[in-house]
Amino acid sequence: MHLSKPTCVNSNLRRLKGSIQLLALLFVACAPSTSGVVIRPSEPARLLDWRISQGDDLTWALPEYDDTHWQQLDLSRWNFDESLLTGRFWFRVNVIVPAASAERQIGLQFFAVTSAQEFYWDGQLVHTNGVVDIDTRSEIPGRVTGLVPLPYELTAPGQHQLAIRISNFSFADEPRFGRILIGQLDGLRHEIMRHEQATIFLTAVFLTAAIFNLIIFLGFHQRIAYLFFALYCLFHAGKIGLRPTWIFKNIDLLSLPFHWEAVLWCMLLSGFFLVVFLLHEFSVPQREFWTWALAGFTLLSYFWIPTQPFVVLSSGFAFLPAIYAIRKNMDGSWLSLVGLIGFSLLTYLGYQNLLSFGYFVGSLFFVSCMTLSLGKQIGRQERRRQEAILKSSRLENELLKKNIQPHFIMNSLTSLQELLEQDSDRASQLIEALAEEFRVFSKVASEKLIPIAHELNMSRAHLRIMEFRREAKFTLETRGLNGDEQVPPAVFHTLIENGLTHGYAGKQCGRFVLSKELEDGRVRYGLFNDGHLEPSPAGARGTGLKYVEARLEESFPGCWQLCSEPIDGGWLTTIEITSDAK
Amino acid sequence: MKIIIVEDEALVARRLERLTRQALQDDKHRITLKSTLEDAATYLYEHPVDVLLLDLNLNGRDGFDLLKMAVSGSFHTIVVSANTDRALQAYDYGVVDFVPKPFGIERLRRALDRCRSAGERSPHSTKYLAVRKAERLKLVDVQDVRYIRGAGVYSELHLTNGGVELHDKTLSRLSDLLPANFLRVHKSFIANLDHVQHFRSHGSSKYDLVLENDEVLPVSRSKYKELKVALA
Repeated sequence: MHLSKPTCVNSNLRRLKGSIQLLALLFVACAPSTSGVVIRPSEPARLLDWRISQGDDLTWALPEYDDTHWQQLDLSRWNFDESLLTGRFWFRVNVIVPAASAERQIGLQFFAVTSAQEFYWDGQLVHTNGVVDIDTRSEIPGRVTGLVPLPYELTAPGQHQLAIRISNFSFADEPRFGRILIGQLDGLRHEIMRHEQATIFLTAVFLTAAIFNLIIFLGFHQRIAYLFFALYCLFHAGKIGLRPTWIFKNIDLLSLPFHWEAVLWCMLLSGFFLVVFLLHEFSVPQREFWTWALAGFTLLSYFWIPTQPFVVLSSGFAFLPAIYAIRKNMDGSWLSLVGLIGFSLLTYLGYQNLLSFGYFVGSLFFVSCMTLSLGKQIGRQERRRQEAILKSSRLENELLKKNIQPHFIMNSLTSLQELLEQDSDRASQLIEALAEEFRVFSKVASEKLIPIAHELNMSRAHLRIMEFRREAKFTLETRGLNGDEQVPPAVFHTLIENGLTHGYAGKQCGRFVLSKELEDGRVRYGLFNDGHLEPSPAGARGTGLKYVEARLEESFPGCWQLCSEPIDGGWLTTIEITSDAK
Repeated sequence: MKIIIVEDEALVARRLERLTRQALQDDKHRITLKSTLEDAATYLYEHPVDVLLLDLNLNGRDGFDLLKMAVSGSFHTIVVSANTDRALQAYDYGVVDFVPKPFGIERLRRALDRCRSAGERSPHSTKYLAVRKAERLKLVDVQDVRYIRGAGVYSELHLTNGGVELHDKTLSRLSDLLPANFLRVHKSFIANLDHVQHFRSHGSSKYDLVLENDEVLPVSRSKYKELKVALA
C-alpha cells in the first residue's frame, strides 16, 4: 500500500527516524518509474535507485527518451556489479517536484561520484564536474563534492528527469559511486552546515584534548599513559577532521584516496592507542607484550579487517584492561568502564542511525570520563607529593630532635658538669665529641642519602660521648665497606644508639660491627652488637626502629627489608636493599 | 642516713654520690649505687633505706614502674631526671622532690634537706598513695583518705569507703607529701580537713575532731591553734 502512495509514506516518514527512514527511502526509490523520487520539504533524499546504460549518447539526456530497457541499479545493495561503473555510462532517474515545494528552489548535492560528470535536468545541462571524455588521458576528474542549484524555472511541480553523463577512466580499477542527494536548496545547505559545524567542533575538541594530555604528559612525571591518551585523541581528531567532506570539501577527486587512507590509519591508530592507553594507565602486567601484539593486530587489520569489525574488536579489547583494573580495585577503573560502556552504547545508536555522529559523541563521552579520571589522578598525585614533602620534613625534624632530646642532651650535660669539676681535660674531649656529632647531624639532616663516611663519623662521635658518660669502652668495626656507599642519614647511628640504650646496662665495654655484603644485585648491611637486648614484644616497634624504617622507605621505596633479632653472642640488625646497588 | 642511688650512667651516678656526700657534710651516711631496675628492686627488698635517688629513664626503660613501687616504700624518693616534662606526674605519685639534670650541689642539698627535716612539705603534694598489696601495688587517691593513724613504723589509711589500708611510710614521712588539707592533729593522727564535721572543746584544754561519719579524732594541745586557723 505504501508503495503505491508515496506521499502517504512521506507524511509518515516525518515522524520516523533512523533505520525505518532508510527502509522507507528504499521503498520510495523502488517506486514505479512513472512516479519517481519525490522531493521532500523536510530533508534531502538520497538517490539510490537508478537506471544505467553503458555508452554515450547525448539524446539520453532528453526527458522523452525511453529508458525502460536500461538496467536497474540499486546502490543501496553492496554487492552490485562495480564494473558497470567504468568507462562511459549514463545514470537516469525520475524526480517529482510536489506542489508543496513549488515556491522553493531545488538543488542537487553530489559527493565522490567517479570521475567526471555532466548533470542534465529535463535535457538541459545544469552542472559539469571535471571533463567527461573517452580515456584516462583526456578525462579530467572533478571535485569530490559540489552543490548544484537548479534554475527556478526548471523545477515546476510535476515529474522531471535527471540524467548524468559520466566517464570513469581515472578510477577504473576502484570504481565508486558516492552519493547524490536531492532536495530543497536551503535544506541541503542546512545539512551541509550542520555537518560542517559538528565536524569542526568535534575535531577541535579532540585536538584540544590531545594537546591537554600532551601537556600533562610533559609536565607531570612523563607518565607514558598520558602520551598514549594524547595520541588517541589526536588520531580521533584526524579521523573526523581529515574526512574529505566537511572541512576538506573543495578537494579534487584525485586526492580522495589519500584522504581515505589517512582516515583509515587514524581510525586504526586511535583504536590501537585506546587499548594501549588503558593497558598503561592500569599498569596491566606484560603490557609491553600486549602492546606489540596489538600493534601486529592493527597492522593486519589494515589489510584484512574492514572498518566496522575493527572498531568493534578494538573497543572490545579496551574493556579487558578496564575490567582488570576493577578487579584490582584501582583508582579510575570504574570511570573508565562507564566511559567505555557509554562509548559503545552511543556508537551503537550511531550505527543504527538513531543518533547522528553517535560514534564520535561516544568517543567524546569516553574522553570526558578519562579526563575526569585524569583530573582526579593529578589531584591525588599532588596530595601524595605534598605528603611526601611533609614526611621528609618530619623525618628531618625527628633526626634533629634526636640530637637535642632532653634525655640525651641533659645527661650529656650532667656528665660534662661532673668532668668539668673533676677532670677538665676529659671534659674538653667530651665537648669535642658532642660538637662533632652535632656538626654532622645538622649537615645531613635534610639529605635523603649521605656518604657512609658521614654516618660512621657521627656514630663514632656518639659512641665516644657514651664512653664518657658510661665510663666504658665502645668500638665500631666495619667490614666489606668500600667507602662510596650512600645510606639514609642516621640509620646506623640510630641502630647503634638503640643497642647502647637497651643492651649495655652495667657493661663496661661494647663492640659494634657494621658489615656489607653484595649478593645478586642486592646489598645487605648487617649491624651486630654484643649487648644483651631483650626481644621486644611482637608487633612493638620503638621510635628508633620506626625512624629507620621511614628513612629506608623514603630512600628506597618498596625495595628494602629490615630484620632485627638476637643471635649468638649479641644482636643483629640486617638491612637488605634490593635495587640501587649503592 | 641510708641512701640508694639508681642511675645507669656511671659518670652521673658518681656525681650524685659525690655531691650527696658533700651536701650531707659527714661520712656517717651509707650510699649504695645501682645501675639497673632489677638490682635496685632486689636491694630495696632486702635493705631498709631512708632516701632513694632515682633516674626515671634507665637503660631505655620507663622508671615509673620502679617509681610506683618506690613511693609505696617506707623511704622518701627523689627523682633525678632529664625528662622534666614528667616532673608533675612524679609528684602526683608522691616523690619528695624532682631534681632536673644537669644539677649542682645546691639543688641536690635542697632535695636532701626536704627528706631530713620532718614537717617541710614538698613543693607539689602527692595525689596518690601507693599501697603494697600482696604482689601488686594499689594506688589510693589521697582525697579518698578520711584520716591516717600511725601504727608503729606503718600508717593506717582510713578511707571514705570504710576500708583501711596499711602504708609503709611513717606518719611524719607521709605528712611531708600530703596536700595542705591534711593536718597532723595528734602524734598518732593526720586528719583530712575536708571530711571534718566540727571541732569540739571539752574545757581544760581537751579537744577533739568529729568527722562526717561521726568518728572522733583526738587533737593535741600543741596542734589546737594550727587547727583552729586551718578550719577558720
